[in-house]
Amino acid sequence: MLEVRGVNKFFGDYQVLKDISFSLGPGEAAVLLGRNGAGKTTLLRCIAGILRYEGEVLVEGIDMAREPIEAKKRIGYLPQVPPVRSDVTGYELFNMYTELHGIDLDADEWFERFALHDAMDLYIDEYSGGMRQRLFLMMTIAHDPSLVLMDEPMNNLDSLGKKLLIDIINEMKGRGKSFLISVHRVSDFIAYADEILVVDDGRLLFKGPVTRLFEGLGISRIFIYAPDGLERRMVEEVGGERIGENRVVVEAENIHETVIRLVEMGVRSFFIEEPGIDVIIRRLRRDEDGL
Amino acid sequence: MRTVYSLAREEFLSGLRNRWILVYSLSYLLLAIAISPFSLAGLNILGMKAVGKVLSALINISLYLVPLISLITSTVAIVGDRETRYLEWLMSNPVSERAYLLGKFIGLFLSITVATLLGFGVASWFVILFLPPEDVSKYFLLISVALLLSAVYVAMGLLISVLSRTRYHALGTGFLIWFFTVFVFDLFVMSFLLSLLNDPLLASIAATLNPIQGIRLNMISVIDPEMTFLGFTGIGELRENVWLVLGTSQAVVIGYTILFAGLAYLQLRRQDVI
Repeated sequence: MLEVRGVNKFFGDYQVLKDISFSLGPGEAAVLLGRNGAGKTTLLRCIAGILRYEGEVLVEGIDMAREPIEAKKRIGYLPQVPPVRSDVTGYELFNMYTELHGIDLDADEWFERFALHDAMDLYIDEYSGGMRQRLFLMMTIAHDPSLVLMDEPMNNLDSLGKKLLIDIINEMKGRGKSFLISVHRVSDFIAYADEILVVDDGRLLFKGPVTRLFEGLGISRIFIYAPDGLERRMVEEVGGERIGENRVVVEAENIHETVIRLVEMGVRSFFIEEPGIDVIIRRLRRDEDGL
Repeated sequence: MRTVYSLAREEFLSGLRNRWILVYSLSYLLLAIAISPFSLAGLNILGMKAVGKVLSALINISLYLVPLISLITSTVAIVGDRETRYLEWLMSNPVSERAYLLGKFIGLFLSITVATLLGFGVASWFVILFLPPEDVSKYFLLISVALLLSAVYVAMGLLISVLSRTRYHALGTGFLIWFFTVFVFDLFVMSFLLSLLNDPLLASIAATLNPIQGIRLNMISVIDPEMTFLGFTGIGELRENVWLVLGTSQAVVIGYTILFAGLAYLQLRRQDVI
């Protein structure tokens, strides 16, 4: 479905992407993870044919550099920040979008599905952030692309929008469509992402199943409400750090063992923080250096 | 072509909603009021040929307004799409740089055309009332020449827009170009050319390097085919070769339009669109 081979991208002398290669099969959903400025957005823009690059991007075997129009017909792209325009209504833009893709869609039906029917004739700058995100999400998938690229799609989405997005991904994945989704937080997509790609400093640090990344990842932080009497034991026996009255934080190397221990000690109220991107990258870099 | 049509229609509609286009049309409304029956009567009393004066007023206002509105709308067109991130989304769709640029050009040109027709339309009541039928065609010829001027400035504005990083930079450059071609060229370049060449015909042909001068000559030739406005100095040679000057100026204007649009396209192809 998607083949990315040796992609490099320079802005002047600054190299943003360094020899990125990976592939995605039909029906696969991959999450693109990385810190701010790691190159996630640039990589998505290169794959979408918005930015020029060195290397090869093939969408269903079609070379994006050589046949951009054909390749783009097979792609749906949701930008990180949806455009704001004060001179075009949502309906007019949707109408133009369908013409660009050469498709005939029932606008009423689509706007209804995305809970935007009442906003069809509003100018786009009159939409709320969430409505605008839904509008462009609609125009990412309505032409039924084979590959969907989304840059931080959860931005601005309310619970309705998030549910809609998740339903769409599951439904389209079931029909063999592929997804490449850039995120900051893994937890939003961990339920259905098949693969994780970690990008740091323009390089692909990791590509593999979600479970492999988290295996032995080590440190997770557990925030614990420690009733009187337990607080001291938490600090002494589990190596916790007191952060407030009846509040302790534990950095756990082995999350399973620590949780079992805490429950055995009588702790009933705790919250496990997902591993942050810094923790993940530190770990991957350590592996890479053979430490 | 369907892509170009869709993009041009979107640009056209958006252009018609542009407040500058509205201001532009209203300027002609003011002119229409200025050429009320009373002022026409006043000119007649003074012994002046009222219709010629009205057409001259239209020419002058067009030579200032058409380039200005064309530059205002087109210089921000592409850089504005970049700033609002619309271009990022648009170029992820099956749209080529050529279709995008062509759609922009056609849409902008048509919206200015409609506004110009509306403006001239508002001012045209006097044509119906005062001009003899054979002069009505002159009026429409003037409109066509004004539109030719619009085309060259829209193409120029798009080139500025492609090259600019911000909307303010684009607008500033547009104003400078407008100021130079409308005022400075007349004051300094023309006097320099005349003193240097010392040949009215050659100087006139050289003057057509500025599209406004070329269009001015064309507009004047519409209402004054004999070019009597040139007076006695150099009248012989220039009046004998008036079609050479007019033809050169038209070719230059069309050539500039193609050149600027072509350069804008090459630049768009050369750089990242966003």
